[in-house]
Amino acid sequence: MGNLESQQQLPWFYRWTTTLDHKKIGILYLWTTLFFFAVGGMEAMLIRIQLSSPGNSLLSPEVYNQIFTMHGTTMVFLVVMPVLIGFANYLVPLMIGARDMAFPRLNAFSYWLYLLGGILLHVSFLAGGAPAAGWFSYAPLAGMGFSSTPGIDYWVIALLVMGIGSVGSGINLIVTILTMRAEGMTMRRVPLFVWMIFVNSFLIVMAMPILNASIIMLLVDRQLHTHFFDPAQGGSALVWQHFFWAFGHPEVYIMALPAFGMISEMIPVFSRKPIFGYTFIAGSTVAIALLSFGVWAHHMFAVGLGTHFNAVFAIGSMLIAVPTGVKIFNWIATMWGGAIRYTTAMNFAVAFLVEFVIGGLSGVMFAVVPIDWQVTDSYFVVAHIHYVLFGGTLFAVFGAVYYWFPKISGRLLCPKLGKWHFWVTVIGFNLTFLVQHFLGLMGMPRRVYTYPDEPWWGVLNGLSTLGAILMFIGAAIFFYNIIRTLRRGKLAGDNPWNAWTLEWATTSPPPENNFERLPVIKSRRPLWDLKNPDRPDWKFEHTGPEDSGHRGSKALASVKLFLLSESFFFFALMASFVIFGLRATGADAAARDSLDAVRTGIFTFFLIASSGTVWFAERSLRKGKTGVAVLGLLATIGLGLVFLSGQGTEYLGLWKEGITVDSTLFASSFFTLTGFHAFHVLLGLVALGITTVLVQVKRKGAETCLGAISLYWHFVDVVWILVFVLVYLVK
Amino acid sequence: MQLCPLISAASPQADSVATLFGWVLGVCGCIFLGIWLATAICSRRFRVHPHEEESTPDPKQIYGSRRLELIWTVIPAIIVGVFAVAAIAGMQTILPPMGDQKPDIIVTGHQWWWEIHYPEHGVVTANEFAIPAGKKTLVQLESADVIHSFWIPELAPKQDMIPGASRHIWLEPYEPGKFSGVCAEFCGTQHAWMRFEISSLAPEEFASWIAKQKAVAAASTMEGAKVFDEMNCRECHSIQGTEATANVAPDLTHFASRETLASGVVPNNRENLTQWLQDPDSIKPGSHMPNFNLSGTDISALVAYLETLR
Repeated sequence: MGNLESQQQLPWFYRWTTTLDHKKIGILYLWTTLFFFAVGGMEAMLIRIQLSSPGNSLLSPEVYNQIFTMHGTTMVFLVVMPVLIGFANYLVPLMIGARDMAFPRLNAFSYWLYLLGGILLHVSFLAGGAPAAGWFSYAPLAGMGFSSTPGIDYWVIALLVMGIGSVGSGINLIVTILTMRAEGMTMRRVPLFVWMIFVNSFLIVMAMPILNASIIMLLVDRQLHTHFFDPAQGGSALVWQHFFWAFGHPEVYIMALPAFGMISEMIPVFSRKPIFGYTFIAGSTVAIALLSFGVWAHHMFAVGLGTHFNAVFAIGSMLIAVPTGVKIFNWIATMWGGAIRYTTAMNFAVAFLVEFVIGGLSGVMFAVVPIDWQVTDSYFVVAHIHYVLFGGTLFAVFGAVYYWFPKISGRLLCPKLGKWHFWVTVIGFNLTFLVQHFLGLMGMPRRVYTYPDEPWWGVLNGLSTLGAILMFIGAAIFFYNIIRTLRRGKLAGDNPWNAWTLEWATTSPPPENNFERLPVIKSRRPLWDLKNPDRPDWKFEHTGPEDSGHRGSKALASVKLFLLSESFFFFALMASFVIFGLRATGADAAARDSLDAVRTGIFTFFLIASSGTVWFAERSLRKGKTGVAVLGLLATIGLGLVFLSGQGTEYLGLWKEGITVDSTLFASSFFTLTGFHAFHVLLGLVALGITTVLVQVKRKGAETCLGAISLYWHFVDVVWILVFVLVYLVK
Repeated sequence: MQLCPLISAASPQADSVATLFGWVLGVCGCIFLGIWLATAICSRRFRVHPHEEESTPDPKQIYGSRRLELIWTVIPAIIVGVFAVAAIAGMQTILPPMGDQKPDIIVTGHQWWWEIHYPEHGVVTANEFAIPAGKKTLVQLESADVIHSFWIPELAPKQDMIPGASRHIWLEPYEPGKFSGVCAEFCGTQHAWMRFEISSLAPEEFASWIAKQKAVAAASTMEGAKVFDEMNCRECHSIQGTEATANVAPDLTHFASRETLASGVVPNNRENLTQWLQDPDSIKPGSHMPNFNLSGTDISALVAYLETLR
């Protein structure tokens, strides 16, 4: 960023691939998701053409299963999630009056990981077949025994790569929102989109590591021949489901909350009224996020886990409908009494309200467990998820494109083409998915490549395909509108919608450093205050105490969030040890008893001691004693190495006894848990080594760096203490 | 199959679901109509046409209302509270625990067919089976490989079949009749053609059906029986009364009395059976039945033999 001048002289390809500007990265996200939206859309069209009549043989079952798996995976991980992250990337710094994200390099890294993951996933087509076990990869179908082509392995690696990138984005966005807000922009004044992204990023940071831990176990199952998810060898098919949905349900809200944020920006501006009940909308978002971690088993009602178990999750799932409903009512109350401008963006926002309510209400119906038993895994669910994700999230995204495109490109999308796009899409969407409710009620299961010629099935499926063709035409109009507008669209000016949040207080597109000058921020709508000095918001709406100006340290905040994420990762691995390792019987129990708790206890002592030395180093550096600090750090590294060598000795001993990762379930969970801990120790040692050099050469910022790494090191030690108790002491 | 299982519910279990569905749909429908109406009113009453935008002043700025917001928090909470009670009550009526009752039927899901076992009668069959009408039948559900799900839309809600664990479900058809069943959990290549037929029979008919299933043909001397032996068909299939006892693939003891081939793909007739033996993939691509490249004579002999297994 410092070499702005030289950046602009580079050819466009280098400019875009080396950029660290949050706006350029945001645009990269948007183009890439648009591309994958086309890919996933083509897959959807293939699905609908195959199903247009009973007994169609266009696609073989093998190909169809790959296509529907890729459609789901693409739309969830390569379109909906990243398009929301892309908008957040572009808008959050602008909305809070910042120059960029907190960590521009991490930001770019996250994007490139996402692209890499998307490419990896599609390479599978050339490498023996795409994954074909559904986007949820249920065990044991996704195991080597039933899916022997490398498709699932590509699926795992791609998700892992993207998962790491998403956690990076989540941390980056939270730290940006916490530490980069302009003067006056308190947490109670940030636009609701920013607030939703803030909560959403916590969901990403906490839910992705659960997915990462479980897909790692799946990969270890497939490649190192362990049996976590293989019931034939003592593993469990259901543990996969619990883990996957413990991630999967927060994921649903990861795909919904930012859309709620977009709606909360558009509806007020086009109704010419402030959002109705900012606090309630923000607060209900937190409630949704918390509840979303306690409802995963509503994906498993038909698994047969018992009335009590189902009842708990039914109640949780019902509860989550309440804060979601609050938002709907608040949006309507915002429109009520307004002076509503039905622009294309507003059209999509209102359509979002109606379609999302259909999807939300059918969701409530699923929480009434016996109804779920009847309609789950039928086309009723297909209809439900598309009403939530397409009629919900994607309609909000379409609206957002029409709303923010002028800011991003400087040009207004053609409203006439926009109306065509809107109506063709709305009609096509409802035709496609409304009839699928009936197909589900009539008994048509989902994920079938063909179906018998039952009365009306062919007709309804044909109608659904017709609707899909309309949606395809709608998407084509949308693409054409974008390309046409970029060439010769009407110029937008700074604030074409007469909106009130900070991104409209700069030029369209904004300059590299975002703002020449920021308006005074005393309320949630700084530009309203600017235009209406006679009736500014801050006179009528109390938004908490004035800004204290305190923003906190980026480094510490990011490390704390990283550790939050890591603790969910280790929690999942420990849970798998409790499930598979602690219940060990027979040969497993013998393997457990052969662990030497005393010897490991001694090595544990070394590791705990290293927490002391790193603390000592930190304290010395703060006092300016560089030499002592370096000694403390070297001691820490030494103690860490002693611990690792202890673990190495133990592994060697077990290996000599013939106990390896694939020998028993106990061994699998033992090696996975302790192995990943050792890996973290190793990473910590590398980071400590770098820090030692930084301290030695008295590099600026070495103290912050040491503060962050010592926090990480304490975390690794605490995790080990838990692991030690769990593995060696609990009998 | 009837047009809509929820309208033509054929058992008390399906009836309970249908009633519950009706009420919940009614309430949700009203909520939807209310919200739809509100947005419709907004777009009529509060719309500003593009040419009036300049001249329309900003409306009164309202920031919220605690009282209204509390109302629309509490009322939905009460509604979902009622739903939760209904859900729990429904679960207890539809799927009461089996206690120590012995199952009448054990159904095992295989990729991609159904193994049916009547433990009390020692009867084994596949893909097509019968239960008595007007009586509660306890079905135990197992899986031999991956997760499947047992679903007869008109008779009962679905229940997953989990490898390594047993599940159960109650079937209680009011009347005699025929019902289609289907695997509802994605289970691999031929998930789509993992269907079955279940007949609900009057008690005396059910008894004679069981008796017929128990009857076992003596070992045959037909040419086809020899081909069956030579081609090692019994590595996977069983025919009771002969040396073929495997259960990797469907039991063939009463094969000729079945209406469909390959779990519902095509009608069970000579033409289709011949094609199935020539090239299984042409009927059910990806099925685990191998293509043995049988000669025309062998196939005719096998078909002739299989047709005697009534």
